[in-house]
Amino acid sequence: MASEGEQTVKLVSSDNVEIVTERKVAERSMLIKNMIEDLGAPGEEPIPIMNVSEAVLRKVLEWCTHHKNDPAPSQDDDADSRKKTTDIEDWDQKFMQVDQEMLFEIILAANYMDIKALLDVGCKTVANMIKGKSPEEIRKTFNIQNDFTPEEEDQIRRENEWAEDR
Amino acid sequence: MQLRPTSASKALSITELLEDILLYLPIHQLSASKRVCRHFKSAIEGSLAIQKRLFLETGDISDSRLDGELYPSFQFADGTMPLMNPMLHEYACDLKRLAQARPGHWQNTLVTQPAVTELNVAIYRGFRRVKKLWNGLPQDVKNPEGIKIKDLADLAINFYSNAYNGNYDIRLPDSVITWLG
Repeated sequence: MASEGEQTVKLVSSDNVEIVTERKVAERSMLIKNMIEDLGAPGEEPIPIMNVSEAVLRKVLEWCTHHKNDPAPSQDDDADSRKKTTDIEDWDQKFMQVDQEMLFEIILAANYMDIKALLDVGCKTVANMIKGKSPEEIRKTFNIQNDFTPEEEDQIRRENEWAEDR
Repeated sequence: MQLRPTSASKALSITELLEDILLYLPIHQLSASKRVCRHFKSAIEGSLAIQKRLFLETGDISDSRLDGELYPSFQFADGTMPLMNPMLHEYACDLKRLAQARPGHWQNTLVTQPAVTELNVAIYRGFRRVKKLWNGLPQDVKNPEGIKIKDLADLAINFYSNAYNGNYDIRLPDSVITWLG
């Protein structure tokens, strides 16, 4: 019998493509880890990843492969780094150099598949895109509709004057 | 024609994801981002973690999502130090400037995280620290709901409006007495 490290699992993307990957890689996803535990017989039954297309799933698994030997996050991993910085390690930074559509697909997939470390990298990447941008520039970047009346927007601007003039 | 929603609009419409992203922003930009759209505004105003980061709700020092500097001359009984509101930074050593600063929404933010309810200001004559002035002017600030920048500004205005104090200056307190638990 194969040892746990060599076990493989079969994942099925939302567009019905089967991807075989190492169990250890797939278990970076808490969703998959829990499913494997529930199913009991890894490798036999394909695991459907309902909300994630093949292209995105392959990208996510690329990240999981690179990070498969990372130590498991502690229960309260927010507490061990006192300050929340937007520093991203080099490999992750390169990994995130994708178009905006893919970037947010990765974030949605990480959220759905419950891969906290990948979600953090994704959110940091978006935060770095936003940093230093005015509300108008943020709207433009993400194609967000301004749904305030000019009066309302003025009111909010006035309430936050300390923030604007810095 | 109905446009297919982008993954960006899909992700940003999930309040928890938007909150996660916004919590990385520096606090002055975070507050200004309320202007982006209604959804951003309600996400910012509805998130306790963001309100804490903005010094609008008292938070715990161990919360990594807070921003600010440790203020070494502030110290609690257990030896921990609070974070100082970054907006107060430029006034810390010169409360006269705070007395002259433009009032506004920013002054409704807490002086420290966790919030303190009582503190003394330090009085100086030139470079010399003066223990206490016996002229009846308040030299301490109290607010059972947590001291805000406005409380400090009011004290500074009161202090500097008195001609007797022409030779004295006040600075940020160097000891904190009690804080919100």
